[in-house]
Amino acid sequence: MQLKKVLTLRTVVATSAGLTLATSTFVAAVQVAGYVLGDTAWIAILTGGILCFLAAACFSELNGLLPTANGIRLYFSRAFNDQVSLTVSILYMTIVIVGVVGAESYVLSRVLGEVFPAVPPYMWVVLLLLLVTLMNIRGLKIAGVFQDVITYGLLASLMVISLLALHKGNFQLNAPFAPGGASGLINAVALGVFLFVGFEWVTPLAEEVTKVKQISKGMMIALGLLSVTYAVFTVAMTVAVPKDVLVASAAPHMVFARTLLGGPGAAWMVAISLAASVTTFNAGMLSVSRFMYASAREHVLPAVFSRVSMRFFTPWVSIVALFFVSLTVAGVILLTHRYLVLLKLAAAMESIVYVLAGLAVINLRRRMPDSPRPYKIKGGLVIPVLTVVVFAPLALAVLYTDLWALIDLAAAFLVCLIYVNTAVPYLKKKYEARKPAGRRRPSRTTGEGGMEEN
Amino acid sequence: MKKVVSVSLGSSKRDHKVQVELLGERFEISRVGTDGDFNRALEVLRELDGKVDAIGLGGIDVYLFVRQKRYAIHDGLKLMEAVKVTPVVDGSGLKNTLEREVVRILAENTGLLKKGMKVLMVSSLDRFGMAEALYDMGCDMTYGDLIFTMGMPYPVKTVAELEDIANRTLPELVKMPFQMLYPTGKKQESQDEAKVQKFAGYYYEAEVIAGDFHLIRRFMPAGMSGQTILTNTTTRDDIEFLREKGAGTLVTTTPEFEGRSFGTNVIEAAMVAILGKTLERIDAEDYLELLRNLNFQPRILRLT
Amino acid sequence: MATHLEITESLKVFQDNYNSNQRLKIMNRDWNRVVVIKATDIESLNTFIVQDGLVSIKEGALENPDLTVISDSETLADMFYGDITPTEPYNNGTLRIIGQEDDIIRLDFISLMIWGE
Repeated sequence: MQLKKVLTLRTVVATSAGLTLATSTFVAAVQVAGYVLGDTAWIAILTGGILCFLAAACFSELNGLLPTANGIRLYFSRAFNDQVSLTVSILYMTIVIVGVVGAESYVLSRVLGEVFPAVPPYMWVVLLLLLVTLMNIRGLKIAGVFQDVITYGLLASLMVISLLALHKGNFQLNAPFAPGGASGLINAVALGVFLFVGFEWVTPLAEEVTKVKQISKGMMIALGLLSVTYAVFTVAMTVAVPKDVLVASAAPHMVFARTLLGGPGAAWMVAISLAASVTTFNAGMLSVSRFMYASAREHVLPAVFSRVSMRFFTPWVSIVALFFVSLTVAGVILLTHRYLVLLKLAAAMESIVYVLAGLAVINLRRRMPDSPRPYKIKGGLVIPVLTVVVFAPLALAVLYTDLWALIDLAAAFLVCLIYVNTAVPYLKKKYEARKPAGRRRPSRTTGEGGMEEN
Repeated sequence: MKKVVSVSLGSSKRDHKVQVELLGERFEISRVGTDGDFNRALEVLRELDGKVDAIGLGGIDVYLFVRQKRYAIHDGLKLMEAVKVTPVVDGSGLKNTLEREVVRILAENTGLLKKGMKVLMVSSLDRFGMAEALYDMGCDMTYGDLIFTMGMPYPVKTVAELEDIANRTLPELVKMPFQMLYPTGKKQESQDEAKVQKFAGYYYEAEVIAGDFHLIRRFMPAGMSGQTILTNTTTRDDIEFLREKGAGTLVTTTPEFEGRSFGTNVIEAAMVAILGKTLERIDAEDYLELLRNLNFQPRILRLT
Repeated sequence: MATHLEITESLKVFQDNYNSNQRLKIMNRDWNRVVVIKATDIESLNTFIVQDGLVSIKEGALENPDLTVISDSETLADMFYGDITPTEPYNNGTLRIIGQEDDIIRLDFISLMIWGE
């Protein structure tokens, strides 16, 4: 019985691109365009994509070195220590899932609200989340095929609509090589990183691919595809619709499609938005549920999250819990309308994790010099150091321009720190207490030469 | 008319519905196979609960008896617990009584079982009564549970060793998914070619092959030399299969009524409906008495 | 979290118990398998080799194993010390075994024959 080693390179690319390809990224893309002059958004987007290649290289080396479903949890634990790793992992998973689901739900509800004003927007979010939850409970393989069809269909669709727009404008671009001042470009690149949020979330699937190297290859291919698609799509939007109109809208891609093709264009864009949201929710649920499952397995989250469906071999409790968390987040954002803060928060957190990934590669080269690395970044420490040097200022730039993002991040960090220092020791103690008294395994001594839990 | 339904994890190809008379009562007996679909079986059971007189669970054992100990297969219990009102049985209660009785009848009244005969029990932990009765009458036993379940070429030769292995392993093995322990659904219709080839010798050496028919079928090689097959219930296709393989005689332990043989779960369910007692109050003696009243005889069919 | 040393020790205990069990050696005389034991939460790889009925252990992972046993370090150490049975972690997903169904049951059976009632 070959247990669930079922993901192919095609699905790895689709999963990596899936979380990234979201309805909210169209909003972020327009925000990127707003920071630069003329039709130069492509410069910022491609730069963002190229910078993400640096992080992807770091993740590839880490994944080859430690191929595990625990992903960054294990990388950072080895590179720094368990407490840092746990705090960052929980913070990262929380912020990104809250950020992505919140922003995504908001933008999607705006899109659908335009087309179906009679249906409450929240209903759409509930239906989509329900669909994705059921698919995930049914099993990875089905979710994988589902992801493949939608992601690739979506990429093709975006390219076609972009080429139509560019053709309509006779491929005439307004000052395509003059982005303006440096500060605008830096902000554009910083926010451009959000467009690629989640490409590395495919690493927790390391134990489920047929070849570990497929993860690195898949991430790189996904980044390449996304960079080109976003760049072309954003430029096409700014060619077809004035930038200030796009920036002022919560669903700029709808404005673009309606301007370009009228009613049919809007219908097409609704379909694209739905597909993009489904891929995002699906990839998010796939990755975060496995993170929760792995955390419960090591008694960091309550044991109930490690329960696996005997019928489908999927972590169903984690998936159902995520469903309810997502519903709550979506509800709150629909009420408060604070979706742009979430985009920035997620972009900042993502940059921080990339910085840590670069540092982890550097540290692990020293700590585990002889361990086999199926993928080793060429050029010594140049790329890991560049990753740190590039993403640290980008994270600061995002937080500097949005005070709320900074406050939210600080508060979330504090909560995670408290959880790691209080709840986690409690859960571990509880697990130890439940073990049978008459153990054959010798109990640990904490004195000299003894083994102590970290 | 009393209604008895057997819900089976086995193939739906074996489904049937008949009316028979047992001890003066008319019975409508039907079988619903769910092709190994556990959830479908749960649905059918819930649907039938309270609407029929008794339910039999087929294609799965719920209880395994090893002398005085009883082990419950977790997946089987889940099915049983889905039924709240109607009495539900898996046939194990009757099997433990009936199959000892069959061994006695065959030894006393036919030449099909004799002291010193080489008997291969393809599976014995699911019918400890038969395993013990054959050993006690002096057969040269090979209990093939380890051979055929996990491909381990280790013939267990005594009941004592069988009991030891059962007591060590069953408390945990019963928690495993049932399909890992026993072929269900489509697996019942195919042969495990690798094991058929590897372990054909055990079949050829034996004079009697005993045990669950699905398992006997799954591992039986071609070129048998007239061996006696002692098993529970068979269909016409199964008889044809045995003929083709070269088996000599078929003995089915389950009673035959109006030309048909039924699974032990069906007969036990019908008996429960006749006895009208709660399951806790029914014991082996009740079943034996009913079997005598039914003038029960195993079915013996010459295949050559 | 158990240490790599604890997992290795647990495997040695398992190996000693197995190799001193005459019946298990006969039962598995033709079951030649390479089993890789991999921890998910710490860096720990061991290979457990059954050859001609005898068990030996090697540090690290051999290529192309017949079975790969994957779990967290605590579960692995407890399991090979016989403090927990593989059934529960296997059923709740904490323990994953990649390999043929027969081999998975056989591995479970061996541990039950060593540590069972």
